[in-house]
Amino acid sequence: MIKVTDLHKSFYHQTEPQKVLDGVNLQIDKGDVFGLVGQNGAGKSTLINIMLGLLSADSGSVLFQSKNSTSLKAKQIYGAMSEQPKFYEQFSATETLAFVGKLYKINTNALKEKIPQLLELVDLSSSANNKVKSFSKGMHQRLALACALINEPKILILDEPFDGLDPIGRRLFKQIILEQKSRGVTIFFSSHILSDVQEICTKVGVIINGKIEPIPLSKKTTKDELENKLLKILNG
Amino acid sequence: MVKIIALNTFKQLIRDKIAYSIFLLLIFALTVSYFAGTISLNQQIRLINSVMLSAFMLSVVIISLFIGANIIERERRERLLFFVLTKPISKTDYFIGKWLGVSIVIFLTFVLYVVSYAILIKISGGSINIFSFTALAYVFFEGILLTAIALTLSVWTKPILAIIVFIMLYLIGHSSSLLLTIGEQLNNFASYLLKALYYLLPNLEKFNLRNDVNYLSGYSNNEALSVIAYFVFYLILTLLIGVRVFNKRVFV
Amino acid sequence: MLGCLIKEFSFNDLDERIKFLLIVFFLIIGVIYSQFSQDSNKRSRVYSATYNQYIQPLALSGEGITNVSFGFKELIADYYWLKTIQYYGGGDPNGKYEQLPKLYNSVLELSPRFLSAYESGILILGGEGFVKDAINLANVGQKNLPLSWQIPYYQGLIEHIYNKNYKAAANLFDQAAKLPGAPPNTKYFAGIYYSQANNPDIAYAIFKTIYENSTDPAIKERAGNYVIYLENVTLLNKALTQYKIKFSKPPNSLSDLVKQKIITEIPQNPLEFDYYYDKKIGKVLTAKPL
Repeated sequence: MIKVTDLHKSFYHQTEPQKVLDGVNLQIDKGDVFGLVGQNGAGKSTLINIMLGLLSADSGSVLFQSKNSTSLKAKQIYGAMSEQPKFYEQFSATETLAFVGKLYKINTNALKEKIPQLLELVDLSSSANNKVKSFSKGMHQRLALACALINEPKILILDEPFDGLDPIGRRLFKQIILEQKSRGVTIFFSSHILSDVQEICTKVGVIINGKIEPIPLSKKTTKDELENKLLKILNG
Repeated sequence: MVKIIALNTFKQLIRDKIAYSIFLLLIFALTVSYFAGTISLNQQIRLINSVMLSAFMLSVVIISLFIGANIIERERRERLLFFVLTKPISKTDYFIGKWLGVSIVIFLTFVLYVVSYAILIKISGGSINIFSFTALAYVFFEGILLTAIALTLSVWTKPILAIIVFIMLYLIGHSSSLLLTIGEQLNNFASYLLKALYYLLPNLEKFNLRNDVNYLSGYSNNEALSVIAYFVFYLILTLLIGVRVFNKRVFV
Repeated sequence: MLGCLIKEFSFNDLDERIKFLLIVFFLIIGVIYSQFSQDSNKRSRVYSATYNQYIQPLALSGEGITNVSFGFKELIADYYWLKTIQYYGGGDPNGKYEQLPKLYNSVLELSPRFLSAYESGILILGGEGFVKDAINLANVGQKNLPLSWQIPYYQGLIEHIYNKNYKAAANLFDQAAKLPGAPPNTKYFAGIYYSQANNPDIAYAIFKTIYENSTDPAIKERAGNYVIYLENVTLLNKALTQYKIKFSKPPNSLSDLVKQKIITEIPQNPLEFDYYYDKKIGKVLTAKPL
């Protein structure tokens, strides 16, 4: 479903190139929930930006259902949520979702039904007609998730989705992610909150030295066990 | 997709404070034209022509400079590009859509000025002068082109440099005949260089009928067609370059 | 064969960059052609009857412009300078260049130390018949740039060429000669003008000094010739005085001085012209009267 093959990316500073991704390989099957963890600056957001076509890799490929992830066809089948999402402040939540829906070529009548459903799902119904300018950080996150779900994606790419959420918000997000998982949606998200990762992921990987190291995970793995495995990898 | 981005941009701009300043400028121009006309010793029509045309030109420059040169850069800065470009829309459609959205604002301003101008002329007892409308239309074309130039500059370089280059191009564009005159008087490589600059840099004087409006009694269709042709060619060229640069650039 | 080639060629097969460059190339052709077209069609504009298509450029007062120059006085002076060149170079269909003095004044009010503008202004205004304006410009220039030899030098030329005022020209060249950087022949020209102004004593003193001090062989020779010439003029005038005393009237020509044995011969003039003898006053002049 998601296949990353030998991805390389360097950033060029004044004197030397800084290698951020050094041969990343990853395969996430349909219906899997993959959690990517790693230290700050390890390259999580870089990987996501390349997967979404916002950055170009030096070499390697990213395929979503055998389609190049940067192609318009691939964009039709995934939904994405960025870290600290931003919207057009002058528009309301409803208008924002309508705009996104039109980009996915969802017709107006279908949108009229879908938008209230999505706002209900992310608990933003009461703020449907409020301008985004007045939204809190958590509300931004929820609206972003609603935008990511509007096209009923087969793949979800979420960058730090739990960041800035209160405990109720985090619980809501986990419920939504698990529900999407039960529908067979392939989910990729990055996080540094291990408890969230442990709760919902079927696979976990840590990004270290430009590569992804898998962390073996079973249904019985506890958060502490996961943390120990992670520390073991990080400390070499 | 272009249409969706354009309409979204248009809505965004209409809700922005800059739209109010354009509207205020129109009100100010109408007031000045009307009242100054009454003390101008029967030169109301002349005053209305010059004030309204100048005010429209100023509005158009404000829109293209402050909006056109900033709109994509602002979206990049505010991480809105992530929001939009991760949807099934190409960078080309996004760029053209942004340009079109700003152009719709300029068009709306044009319509407001045309209607206001017509009403003011009627109130002042004058008759509708086709050349004034032509002059207004030319300012509209100039605005569209300036917006394309501003957008292209904004995706090519840093905002402050884009603004500086825009202002330089605007000033050169309205004095480019000087390049030709000086070029014709020289006999060396500099002559060819100056003439090349005259033909390649945007010659905004082509759209300037403002200074002749009060005196024209005949204007050929051929000239009008040349101006429109120039506008179309230059606009397509600018947008093409802008799209290419935008497609190549990284925005995260 | 051409048909096959055309069939084989497909725009879509071209490399993307080449496609882009081709499209840009054709758009640039379109841009240039439409400009040409508009430039030529512009001439067919019809203006209402009272409108004179040729417009004199407007020269605003320097003081006025300075008030709104926002610190860009020199830049605006340059703009007016280019405008002046364009105006003069572009040709006035009336042939009068009426705005020229005002344009030069505008430039120099904004940039009073613009030496080249004084230089060209003095010469061009003089040449176009604005002699008074040229001289006024020069006077202003002398006040603003008191150490520039060029201004009195050029003003001297104007006085000579257009006013035939050799005395004024001589004074100006003399003035210029005293300023730093003046060409070595400036004093020499002053001498010539004093001579032309029928001030032979001053001219003699100047040329003698030049002859004695100059290191330039050509100037030394020329000055020497003027010294001899002026000595000859003095000699001839003394002879003429003697003739008048003796015969109570001036001679008809200089050869009468030889005939009447006042002098043995008319001294040869080292300069390439004849002595100018004014029969009415009975004197040899160093220049024809105006």
